[in-house]
Amino acid sequence: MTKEQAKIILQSCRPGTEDDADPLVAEALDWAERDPELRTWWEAERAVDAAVRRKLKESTVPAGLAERIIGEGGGTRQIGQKAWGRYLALAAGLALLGLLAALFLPRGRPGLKAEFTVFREDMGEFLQVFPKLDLETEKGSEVRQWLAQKSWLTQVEIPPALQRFPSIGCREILWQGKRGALVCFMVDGEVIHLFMLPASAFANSPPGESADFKPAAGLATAAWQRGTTIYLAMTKGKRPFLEKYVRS
Amino acid sequence: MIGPDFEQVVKAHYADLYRFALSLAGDESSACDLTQETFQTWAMRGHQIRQPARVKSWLFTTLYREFLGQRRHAGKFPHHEVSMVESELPQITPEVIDQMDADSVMRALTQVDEVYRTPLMLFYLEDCSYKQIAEILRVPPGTVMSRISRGKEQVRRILFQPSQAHRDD
Repeated sequence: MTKEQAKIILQSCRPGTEDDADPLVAEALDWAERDPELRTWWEAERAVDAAVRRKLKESTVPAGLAERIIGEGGGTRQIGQKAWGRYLALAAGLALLGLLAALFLPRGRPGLKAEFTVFREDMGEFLQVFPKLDLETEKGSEVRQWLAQKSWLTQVEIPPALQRFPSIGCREILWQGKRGALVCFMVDGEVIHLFMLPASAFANSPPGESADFKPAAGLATAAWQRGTTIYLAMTKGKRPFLEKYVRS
Repeated sequence: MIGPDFEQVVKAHYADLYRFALSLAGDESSACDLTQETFQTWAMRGHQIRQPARVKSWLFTTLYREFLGQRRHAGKFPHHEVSMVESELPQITPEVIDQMDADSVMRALTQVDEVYRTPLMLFYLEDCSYKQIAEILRVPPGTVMSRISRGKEQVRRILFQPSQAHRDD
């Protein structure tokens, strides 16, 4: 953990909550205890946070809003009935839109990326702090064994060029209720993170076997699908570096 | 069924829920509607929550889901693009914040990029752990940490650039 990463962790943790039990938080807190500069910085952060919270509590709320909500709450049964009508109308509208979209929207790549793009960005943010690993190992055999135990992942094919390098470890991830795996490799002094999820997790996924290169959250990334699995590789290195190890 | 519990829940949480709704929706009217609809949902389903400690978290989660369900295209919610130039900002202190108008601080928070604003508002309003925020937003906890950090950086820049901070309607 770097000092900058410790700061990121400290900025979001709430002492006295379940955050204290998190190993990452515990490590950052321990660092703050030992490092006077970090401790001073964090104390200042918490003081600013407390001031922002105080100000938020003072910010204006429309007059009468509570009374209006309480008044409406007395008509729950009516609200429910109105809601059904609204939902039916919404469903009919969505069905019509879906039909029109199927008829008139161009097919192909431009319309595909919404959900996977979000996933890519989220994982980029996730990697700003090096994640705690479920299994720390340099041995590819142990990584393969760990992956084999993930029944929701099948036909996993790690790029051969990556398999030549030692792993750092692996962990499960959970994103929007979807389970995935992350394996980290140390490649020529840079870490390459490889996420794997079932292709069924995404309505729209990277097409075909050709890697799709895009930056995300300041990282170089490549995404592709092989069989029933989606792969997303991410690194702080540049795109040419990543290309060497993910292209088959 | 409406009774004292409903009124108690409303009075206890409507203000913070409204502030969260305002940070999501961007205008008072939409925020009021979002808040009201959330409590209507509570009126219908709140009896399922057996632990009082979970009420606030349930309300915030429900409001956020309602917002996602209703949202229009991101282009209709333009926000002020904060400069990413890594210049040294003046140190922000609690005293500086305390001297600011409360609504100005709220406005500054609503101008943070949405992807950072949502976890940041939950951090400030909901008083919950970053893991609870991760559950509400359904993203990994590490993502929440990073976004709160970036959100704080953005709000500091906005607070020190008040002449440029405005929201397009």
